[in-house]
Amino acid sequence: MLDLAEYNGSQISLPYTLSLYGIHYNTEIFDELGLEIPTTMDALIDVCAKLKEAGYDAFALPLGNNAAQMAERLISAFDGNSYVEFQAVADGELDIHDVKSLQALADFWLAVKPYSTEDALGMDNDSAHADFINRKAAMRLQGSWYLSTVKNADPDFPVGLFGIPSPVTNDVIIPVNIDTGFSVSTSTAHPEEAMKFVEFLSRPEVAQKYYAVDGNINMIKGVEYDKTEYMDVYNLVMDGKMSLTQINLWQQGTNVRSGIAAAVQELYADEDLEAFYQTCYDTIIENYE
Amino acid sequence: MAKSNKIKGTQNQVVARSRRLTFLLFSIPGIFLYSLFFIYPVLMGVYYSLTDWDGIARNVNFIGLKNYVKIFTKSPRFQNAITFNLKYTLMYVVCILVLGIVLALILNHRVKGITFFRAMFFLPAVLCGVTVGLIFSQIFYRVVPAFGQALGIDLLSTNILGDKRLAIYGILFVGVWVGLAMPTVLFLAGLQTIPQDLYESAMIDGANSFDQFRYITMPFLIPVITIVMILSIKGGLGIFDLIKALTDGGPARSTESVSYLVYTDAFKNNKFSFAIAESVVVGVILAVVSVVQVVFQNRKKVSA
Repeated sequence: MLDLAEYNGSQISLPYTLSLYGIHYNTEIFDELGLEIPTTMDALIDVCAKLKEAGYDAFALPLGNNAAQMAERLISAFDGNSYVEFQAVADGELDIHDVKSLQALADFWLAVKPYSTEDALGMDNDSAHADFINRKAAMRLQGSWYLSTVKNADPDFPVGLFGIPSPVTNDVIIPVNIDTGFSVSTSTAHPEEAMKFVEFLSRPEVAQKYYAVDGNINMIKGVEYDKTEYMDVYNLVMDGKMSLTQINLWQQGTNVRSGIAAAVQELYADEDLEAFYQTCYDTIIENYE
Repeated sequence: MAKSNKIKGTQNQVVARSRRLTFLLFSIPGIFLYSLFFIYPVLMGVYYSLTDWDGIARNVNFIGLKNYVKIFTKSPRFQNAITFNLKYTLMYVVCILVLGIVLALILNHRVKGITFFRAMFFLPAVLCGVTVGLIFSQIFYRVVPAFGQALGIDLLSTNILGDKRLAIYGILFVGVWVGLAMPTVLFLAGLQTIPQDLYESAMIDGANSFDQFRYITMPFLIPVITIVMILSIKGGLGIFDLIKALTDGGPARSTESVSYLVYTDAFKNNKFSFAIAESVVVGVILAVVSVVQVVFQNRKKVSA
């Protein structure tokens, strides 16, 4: 787990808390329709079709203002090595059409479109949240920070989380992000005191208190995790089935993410695959050195 | 007699010098504050636009005009944003001028309840842009499509903010709704400075309503139009909050303005010096447009 915060062989930070990303779903709707948690992309699309048939939007998709994060985390779930392929595209060694995570991304949007929010490009996060809470939509792509939003709206809301199945790895890998990490500056005048503070924070009893307020997965050994809604995904993470979300690994990550979001919005509107790949290619070329 | 005049002249010179000194002393705090909070940051901004500063690091390298060269040769996103800004600003200025003058002419009549209407039309000006944006975001997503579907209008049956060809008009509508109040008040004030006897003379000379508007109202409104145009061009080129609240620059970057891009580059991408260079380019465009417009309109206004 420590290698999440390694850079060029050096430990640059103590990774303290992790947020994770996946598919939040209404457990009650799933139970009513007898739906199983999908572990392959085909099974997920099948679940979407059944939800639509039962009168629900499968996904509430806020492509209006959340396309960037959804696209980037989907890529992270599909292929934790996308950054290698992006670099190869930038170096002229790989055709953009052969980037597996982008193929999977395009396939995903086109596959879920008929079963999801009709007006996804005009939908923002707040509207998607409203649709999820009001049982109009059964699933949402969201991070672990979403649990408190759901519980604020309705403390008894039947919510669960499962991982996004990857057609690239044929596995379920959870994209994680280090939300809190502690580093000590090399130029500090008080290195001993700083290290002592890090040591203090890494005590299980202190970390447990931190977890009680923060709610994210705490990386310190011995901290007890008690979010039943996320337990399945938590166990996957603890089994090592996770990868660092790709924005940390792409060059000029936020710019690349925003470019891919524009490509996704175009694809969703026009279903033009060639335009999608062209925008992704332009984005990589513009931002990679 | 000559001697007394000479003494008087000397006294006048002393008084004038003393007054100049007083004015100078009164100006110093203003000049100081203006320099500290405006001129100095602008000069610092221009300097940083010539560096590779990322907004955080302590080491700053001078890279000359590289950022500017990149803006004009390797940044289709900036060119896209400038095109959006120019298109938006043009439509915004026309809407504000036309609707502002029309509303002011209507509100200038003495009819029952006019104070109420004036207050109502001014209401959007006191609302925060982001709040208005969030309210309209819901209206466009939930209310407008419901009407569009009920009336069978295809164009309005989905959220226009989700359509890359129409989103700009959604933002324009909200922008004009918020931005119209102040210009209307300025036009109203301008209308009330026009001497009524001019209209009476014109009527006696047989001028119809359009002639009166064309030859009396408009020339008197030119100074106000100048101010309103400068303010609305600035508003149009600087639009940010409504875009952030309504479309977040999308769909597919169709509503990315330069201000939005500057914000993204500076605070999300940590390309601070590049973002400053982008702002400097917009600042220059704004200054040139304002100077041309002031010179042009100064020739047309009525000299009182």
